[in-house]
Amino acid sequence: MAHSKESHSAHVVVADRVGTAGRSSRFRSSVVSEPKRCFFPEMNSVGEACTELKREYDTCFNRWFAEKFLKGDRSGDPCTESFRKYQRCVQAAIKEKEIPIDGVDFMGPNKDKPES
Amino acid sequence: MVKYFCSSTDIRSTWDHVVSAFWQRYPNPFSTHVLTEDVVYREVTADHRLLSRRLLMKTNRLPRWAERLFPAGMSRSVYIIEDSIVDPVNKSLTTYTWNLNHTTLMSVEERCVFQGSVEHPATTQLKREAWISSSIYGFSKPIQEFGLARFKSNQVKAMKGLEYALSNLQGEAPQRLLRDTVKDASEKAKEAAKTLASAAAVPQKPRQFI
Repeated sequence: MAHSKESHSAHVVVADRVGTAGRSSRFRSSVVSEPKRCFFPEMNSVGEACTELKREYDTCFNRWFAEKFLKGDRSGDPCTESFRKYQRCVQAAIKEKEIPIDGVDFMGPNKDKPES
Repeated sequence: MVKYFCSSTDIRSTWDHVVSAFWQRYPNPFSTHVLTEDVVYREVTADHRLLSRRLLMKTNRLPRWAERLFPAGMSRSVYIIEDSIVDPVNKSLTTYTWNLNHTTLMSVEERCVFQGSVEHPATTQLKREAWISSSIYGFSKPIQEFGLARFKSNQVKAMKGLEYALSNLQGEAPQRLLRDTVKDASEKAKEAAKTLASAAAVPQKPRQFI
């Protein structure tokens, strides 16, 4: 269940021949897109410069998650490199903005709650 | 004082779809208050569970009567942590979400468990719990009531956002994937908001602030 951004719209190319005497014909093409399923911009990263890296990583992750992880496939993780680049950027942004995320235990506040 | 809130809902989707949609639910038409989303930690454990941490930044628009209580320069952004564990063997997704800042004003913690079922694979059960508290001296009760009303309303939006993401994944037009329990919660949230508005004696009608 890939959610790659590239597959959002199908393009149909309609070519018209525009002839001009004495010259090779040139094709005027118009591209007709099928309506996109959703027309919302993608999410930004908290680090403005990291958004592109984030989207690359997310695309890789979503594909791996659905096609490998959920199916119990434990073969290698193809997203290690894109994750590394993205993290380098976003962790720097978090420090720069002084977002108090450091040292917060995983599932921290859950520890004092009764079992669900 | 802490308010506790708990609800159960069935989602008419397979657990696999729900979990995939969980990662892809932003942006959606109901999440305009969510400004940024980042994965800041991720790990696959030896027993094949996926641990993740997401950092979200949301706007925090307050009603006028609450705004007056706080310094003019107070940040309008709320940072939220969402920790999650995906267990594909037991078909469970557990999430824990809480706000990092503005905790004196209001602390909202939410735990969700999305559970798939072998007997009913087309359905996923969602159990949500929330703990809401405020420590502002003298204003605790109205702020808690406001927080609770807003939280319930946000839950409805969150479910609509997840529905939206699910229908995108499944390539269908958005359709009702939830049973009526959510509709009840929405009605109750509206009632709570109305009660709050009259209690706070604010002339404007209740609005959704976040």
